[in-house]
Amino acid sequence: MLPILHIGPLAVQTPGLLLLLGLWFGLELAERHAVMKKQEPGKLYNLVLISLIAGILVARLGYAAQYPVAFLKSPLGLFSLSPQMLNPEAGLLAAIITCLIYIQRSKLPHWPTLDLLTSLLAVLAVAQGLAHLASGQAYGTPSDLPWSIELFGALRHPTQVYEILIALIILAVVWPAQVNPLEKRIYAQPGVRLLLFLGLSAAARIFLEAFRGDSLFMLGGLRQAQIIAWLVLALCLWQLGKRLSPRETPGD
Amino acid sequence: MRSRRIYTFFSLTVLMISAGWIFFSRALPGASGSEDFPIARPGFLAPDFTLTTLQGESVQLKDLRGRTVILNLWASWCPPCRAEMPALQRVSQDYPPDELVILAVNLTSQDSREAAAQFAQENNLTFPILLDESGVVGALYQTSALPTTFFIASDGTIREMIVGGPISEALLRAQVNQLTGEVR
Repeated sequence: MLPILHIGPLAVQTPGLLLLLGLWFGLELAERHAVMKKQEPGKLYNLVLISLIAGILVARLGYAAQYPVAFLKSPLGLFSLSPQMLNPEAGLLAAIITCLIYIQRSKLPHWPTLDLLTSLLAVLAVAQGLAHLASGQAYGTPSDLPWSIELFGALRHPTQVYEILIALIILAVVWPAQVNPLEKRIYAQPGVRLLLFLGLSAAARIFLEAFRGDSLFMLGGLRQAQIIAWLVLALCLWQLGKRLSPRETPGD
Repeated sequence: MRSRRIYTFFSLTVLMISAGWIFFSRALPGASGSEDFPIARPGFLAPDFTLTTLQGESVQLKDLRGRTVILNLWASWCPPCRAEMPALQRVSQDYPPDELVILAVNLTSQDSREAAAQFAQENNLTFPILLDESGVVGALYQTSALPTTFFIASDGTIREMIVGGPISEALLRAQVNQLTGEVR
């Protein structure tokens, strides 16, 4: 765990730094993917940048809307750099909507463009695992397994390590390269790369959430994240089935 | 057609196994989201301590259960710590003491009692300035950078931890609104 990186007089938040590195590397990979697919990498870069800015702005406004009295008394707080003052759900929704609007208005091909973004999302998933490892967030439940790690006063499941390993496997599955055996077999079908990434990530979350010590619970002791991930998985399986079956029908 | 049937069977199997796993891994009745031993991390009980104020009064964290507590670890030589104190003072004035308590723990082992007292006087700070002369609280709260601020709910659980500063006044108010709202 290394939440703060001391560089001379500067104290840098390591998780934020790792996420920024993930964004940079993910964009590089997505742009390379765009070149491979003969699409314009510049437009992809703009798409990500605009969606990101819209996401951050709406996340901050969403947070301010949650606590209007706090921001009325201190309106300059709207411009604070504090990452705690964000509403992630509102930000994610705004980023998705902005992304779709940009694709529509720039006349980019819908599903192939979303497939290009998969490379960025897969790298960000690895970076998020590393950020969790650095900050200690997403920690595991107490456990006495031989590979348990000492964290916060107990031996625990190394959930952050599980998260990184699974994210790396998923990244390998969706990696944009001709040597990837799935490239010609199924990724030729638009949307399959994104849906496979989302489906695998949802399945991983359902499995890993069970070992987390910081889950949010719902009625009946069910874990909120698992329920959402199950719904995403169901949606992905349904959409994947629709996209893959027309190719297979003639051979049957 | 056959491969479509195989895919449907595969999908349903995956969804059923997942649903089974979700049910199997649910929390047992009586289990809570937070762990009931003290560690200076969100989701855990705030480690207890007793310190004396600049005026010589003794304050124990455990005695403040039932109220929202902002625990701010600071030193007078740290510029962001100095910058955020006026915001803490303004917030403390807006809430009655039976709802919100602000404890500013001066890491006196890395600072001095005189410097802390002078800073408090210059800025008219009315909330308790606690003196951590042995460095025990700094170590207990694993202070890796200054300032560090903990938001502690009325049940003694740490809800949020902000490392670095100066902390935004809006964030202070939002966190306090949320925590005091839970009590009401």
